[in-house]
Amino acid sequence: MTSPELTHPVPPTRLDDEEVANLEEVWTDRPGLYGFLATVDHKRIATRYIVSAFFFFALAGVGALMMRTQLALPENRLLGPDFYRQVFTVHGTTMMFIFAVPVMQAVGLYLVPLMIGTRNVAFPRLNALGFWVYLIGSLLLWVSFFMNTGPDAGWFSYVPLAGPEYGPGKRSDVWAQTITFTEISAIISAIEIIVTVFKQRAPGMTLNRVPLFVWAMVVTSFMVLFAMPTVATASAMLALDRLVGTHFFNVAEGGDPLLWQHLFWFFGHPEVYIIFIPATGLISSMLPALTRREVFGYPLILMALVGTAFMSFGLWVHHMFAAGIPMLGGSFFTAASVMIAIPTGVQIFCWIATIWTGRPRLTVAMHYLLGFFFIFVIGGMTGVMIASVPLDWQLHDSFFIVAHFHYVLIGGAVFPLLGAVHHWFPKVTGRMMSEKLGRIAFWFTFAGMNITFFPMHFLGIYGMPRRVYTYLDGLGWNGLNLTATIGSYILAVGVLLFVFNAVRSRLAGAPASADPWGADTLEWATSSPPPSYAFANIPIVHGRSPMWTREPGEGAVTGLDSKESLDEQQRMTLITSVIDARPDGRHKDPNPTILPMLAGLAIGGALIACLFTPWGLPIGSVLVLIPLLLWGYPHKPAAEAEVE
Amino acid sequence: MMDRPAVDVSHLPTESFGHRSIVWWGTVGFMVSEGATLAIAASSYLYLRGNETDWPPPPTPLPDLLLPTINVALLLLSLWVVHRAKHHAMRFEKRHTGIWMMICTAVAFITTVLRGFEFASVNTSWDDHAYGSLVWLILGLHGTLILTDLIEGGVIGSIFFTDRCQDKHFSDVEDVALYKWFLVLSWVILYFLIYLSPRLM
Amino acid sequence: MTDAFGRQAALIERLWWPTLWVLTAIYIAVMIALAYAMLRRRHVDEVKSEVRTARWVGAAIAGTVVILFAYFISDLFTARAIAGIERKDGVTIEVTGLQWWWRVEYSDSVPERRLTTANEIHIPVGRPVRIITSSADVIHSFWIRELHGKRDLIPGDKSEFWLRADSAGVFRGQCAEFCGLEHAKMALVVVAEPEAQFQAWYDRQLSAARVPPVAVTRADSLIRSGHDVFVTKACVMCHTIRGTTAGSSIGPDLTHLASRRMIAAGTRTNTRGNLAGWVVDPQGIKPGALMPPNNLTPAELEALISFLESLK
Ligand code: HEA
Ligand code: HEA
Ligand code: HEC
Ligand code: CUA
Ligand SMILES: [Cu+2]
Repeated sequence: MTSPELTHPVPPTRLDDEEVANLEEVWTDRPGLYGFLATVDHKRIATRYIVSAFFFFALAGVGALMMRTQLALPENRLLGPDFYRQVFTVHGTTMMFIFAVPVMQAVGLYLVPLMIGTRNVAFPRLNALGFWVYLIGSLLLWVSFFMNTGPDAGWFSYVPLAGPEYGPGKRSDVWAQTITFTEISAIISAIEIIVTVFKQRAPGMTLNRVPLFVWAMVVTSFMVLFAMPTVATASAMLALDRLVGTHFFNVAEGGDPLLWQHLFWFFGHPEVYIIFIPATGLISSMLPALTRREVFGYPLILMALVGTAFMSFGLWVHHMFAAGIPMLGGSFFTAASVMIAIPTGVQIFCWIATIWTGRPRLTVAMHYLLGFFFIFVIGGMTGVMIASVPLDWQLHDSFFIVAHFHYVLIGGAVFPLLGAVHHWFPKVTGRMMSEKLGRIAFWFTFAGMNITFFPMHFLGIYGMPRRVYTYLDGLGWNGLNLTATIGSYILAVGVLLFVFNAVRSRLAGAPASADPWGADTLEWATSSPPPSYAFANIPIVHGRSPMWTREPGEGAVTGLDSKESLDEQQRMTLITSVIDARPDGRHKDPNPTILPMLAGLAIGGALIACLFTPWGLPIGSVLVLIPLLLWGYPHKPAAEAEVE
Repeated sequence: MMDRPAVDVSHLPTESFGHRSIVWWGTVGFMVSEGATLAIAASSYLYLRGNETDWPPPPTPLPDLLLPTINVALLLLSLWVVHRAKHHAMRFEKRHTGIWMMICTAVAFITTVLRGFEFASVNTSWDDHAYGSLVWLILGLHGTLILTDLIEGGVIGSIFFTDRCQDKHFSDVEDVALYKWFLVLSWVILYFLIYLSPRLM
Repeated sequence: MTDAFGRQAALIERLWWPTLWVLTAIYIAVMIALAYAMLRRRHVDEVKSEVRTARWVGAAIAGTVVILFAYFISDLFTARAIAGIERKDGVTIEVTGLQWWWRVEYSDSVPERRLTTANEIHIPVGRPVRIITSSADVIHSFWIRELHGKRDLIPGDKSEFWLRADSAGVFRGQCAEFCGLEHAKMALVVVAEPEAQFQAWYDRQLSAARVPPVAVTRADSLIRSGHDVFVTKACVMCHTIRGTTAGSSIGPDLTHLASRRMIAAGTRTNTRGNLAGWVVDPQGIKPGALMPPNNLTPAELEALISFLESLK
């Protein structure tokens, strides 16, 4: 099966049927519950992540419907002030921390290894741990909410409102803990993606051939590495202020509430691009299939991604213009904020150029991409408006801001994501989604979105502040609010149709071929759904669009799995060099284990215990240590010894 | 079609050192995010310090110098020790690697204990004033890194005295060494920040 | 953005309209390009069109840079113009945000002419006003959109900004930073009026409340007993009415309550019925407000409201 020379002419020695069957056995999880809990397969874990994220999206969406219903009429008494503040906080926190960031990372965890032609992520067990930590943190938030202990100081928890004096009870502690959980898992996913992309690309996939979605995920992951520790540290400081009486944000003892705002937004601004950049990657990687040409301006788009990432760390103060910062500082952050419109514009122009010169085809995914342009650019324009200090003084914390960020978030992230679901659904499930139902759902979502959020621009201009549980009659806000509420119901119908379509197609959709769209990236080279080992023979890449430049009988990687490794049930992945992706090693990929789940539970227990006593930390740490030690400690290499 | 041959990788090693190993990259990733955490704590320190005219705010005395200075010296020493261990690890010398890792762990243990006493020597408490909160935060954050390093070093070191030792554990030693660099260098900066800078400025 | 009555708001509005139109035009251009890209007939000559497209993309990027630069410059000028207001002969008002109302203090070099009131601010048209911002608890934000943009009131961080009303009007402002349960019902009224009217108002506000010494008419006796209710019930523990023994500053100053247009921080118009409803059950109107419900007999209530209504 292996060959002595490094390379040899076609036809190459590929794995034969029996060997493939062996490979299948090595890589497939045990059936049943244990196999389910112990899996370290990035595809299964990512799917789980995605489904959970959508589940929480639906919950938070129902919260949004409650808010909209409350605001439909002036002085409505459906939700009281105490419930309303929990609803908008939990809605915002869920959408940002539990839906948008994780779902993008999860799509990355699913697609990136396939797109670069490897069998699994770099640290599969860590990856599993990340999921469990995420799940526990998200459940903590929602269980608390159902027990009337939902956080209630807004998704950015400004102190002193969220501090010990004005935020008694456990509500803000729950917020701080949820943040810690989700940030741990975000950092884990980021490291997974960076290392996988750097070290496990298929031979020949040099850095300038990496698909743009993969680049987008790498850029995002670097942003996560710098941004998430900031909010995790800040929320730890908040928790300490609340729990053990430190004074980081306490004016009376030398603290400063503005420090919180700086820390939060130093994270919070990059956060919005952490959501947006993966979405741009999805667009860049869908367009080739949808327009039947390579994306126009690959290097330009890549520069735009990197530029956006750098700039995004330099404009956090534009969220604080109304806090009274000095004028010179204000101008600097205005300049930075309008500058970031340039790389975004570059991407938009390149995509339009791609469509212009390509032969576009109107699938449901393409509908969502067109919807993206229509909606996101409006949000971008309002972003440029509020980047100006004087204009922001008027618009800040009004419904205009609510309109801005739903336009960029729903247009810039949710629409590309929904498009991506339609696009990659056949790959993931092996079944096509219904195009007809998809189109209907699209039009509901598109119309609903605009009817909901467009009127909010006017509400803001006419003086309606955000985060109000009600408003007085006679201020001229009634009609606009009612329209927005009706829009949100239309939007909900769209989302419901989408969910229905996904579920029905999963169960009874038409079977999908390996490459239903004629796409260009490697994930389409393997069957739909991909086998557990993804690629029996790792493909070799000769260009940016490997699927379009394939030749019959083309060579592939051989000799990755040896007879011994197959016999020993040893999973193997290929390691390649960072820059030019030259084969450099064969990595022993770990087998499934329940330990990540146990460690996740221990971390969960520890952090939840911290809600009640500072002793949660030391005791919890010890508990966490046990599974981690078991995990790190080597098994007796019996089989190996035998072979040697 | 001769230009599209297959590639045979069966001869490639299953373990490697440095940037050829994925664990090394994982360690770098965690170092970056932990470094960001420390940088944020340090920035908060500087931010709140900027609000005050006197630092530490009176009547808080300056932190003691002796103990932390000894500890910095020990940390620097541990760098040398871990490099001895790495030296042997890269030659796959099991026994020597193990012994040096144990010495390294011993030094790390002393540093950890001294770190515990450092809390007492800063002359302020976490709930006195934002200044005290910040000093404790920085000591604590870096302290957890010291603790992690101690446990990791101890566990990896002990493996060399068992028959479970595999090739990959030698490359783990290299990661411990890399991490140690991060641990020590970051502390040198933070030491300057919390112990020396209030004296100098 | 719209309906500017003040210098600052007018400057902002002057930046707003061109910004809106230019950005809308760009938006439409982008959408047209997209629609054309989707619908246009395809050429065969791919290579030529690739080069031509590259030129278009380059031009679009260059255009973006130029427009954003121009925008940044006009933003700078607006910000400077706003800060560069004439500051001579200004009125200084310290506005303190509290959960969920506003304390308003006019300062004056003569101590007797300093004035404390709540929830309604009067300013003279044409004269610059210096607003000193402060907060007694959490962060609030002061926003009168007809006059100026927002300014946060941050605990421990007193700062100031200037505004000027250029024509008379009555404006409703609302707290714009989430500050807890009743953030939604934390509004205030600003009255911009000609100098003479402002001075008259100011002098009236400076006077203490007058409680009729002897009850001649029935109305007077009602007021007197209302005063007695006020100073014997819980009210006195939280409110000030100058000229009586009530001198606490936990709640709004009520010395000239009856002269205000709204009660409960802009939540209800100042009518007899609303006042009675508020005093008996503030929680029904503003759930969570930091004023407890009061148990009063109908007679006590009647008298109390008459007294409050006499505080012109
Ligand atoms: C996906 C998320 C996302 C994205 C991509 C953006 C993009 C931008 N945002 Fe937004 N923003 C948020 C999410 C996002 N934002 C959120 C969640 C908040 C609120 C948080 C809260 O308070 O709760 C917020 C708040 C927010 C504020 C603070 C407002 C306030 O609270 O007072 C500001 C101020 O500057 C701002 C600016 C911008 C700018 C300049 C962009 C730019 O990047 C936009 C650039 C894009 C374009 C401009 C369109 C495409 C470009 C062209 C077609 C080229 C031609 C264009 C021109 C010549 C103009 N945003
Ligand atoms: C990605 C981010 C994201 C997304 C997608 C959304 C989506 C929506 N948001 Fe959200 N929103 C935020 C992020 C987001 N929001 C943030 C950060 C805030 C600020 C919070 C704060 O101030 O702290 C905010 C605040 C916010 C407000 C302002 C509250 C206030 O200030 O008083 C409003 C009000 O209208 C609103 C409405 C909506 C609506 C109608 C949707 C709709 O798009 C929702 C559509 C979804 C559905 C309608 C769900 C449909 C599902 C079902 C019906 C169930 C079916 C389920 C199964 C079958 C399993 N949002
Ligand atoms: C525990 C303190 C407290 C007590 C006791 C109290 N109040 Fe108040 N009062 C407040 C506070 C606080 C407010 C501001 C509430 C708000 O607008 O959110 C207020 C507001 C008011 C207002 C509206 C003022 C305005 O300008 O909007 C009136 C009138 C009033 N109180 C009258 C009374 C009367 C009459 C009593 C006694 C029967 C009373 N209060 C007892 C605290 C108190
Ligand atoms: Cu005060 Cu909102
Ligand atoms: Cu921002």
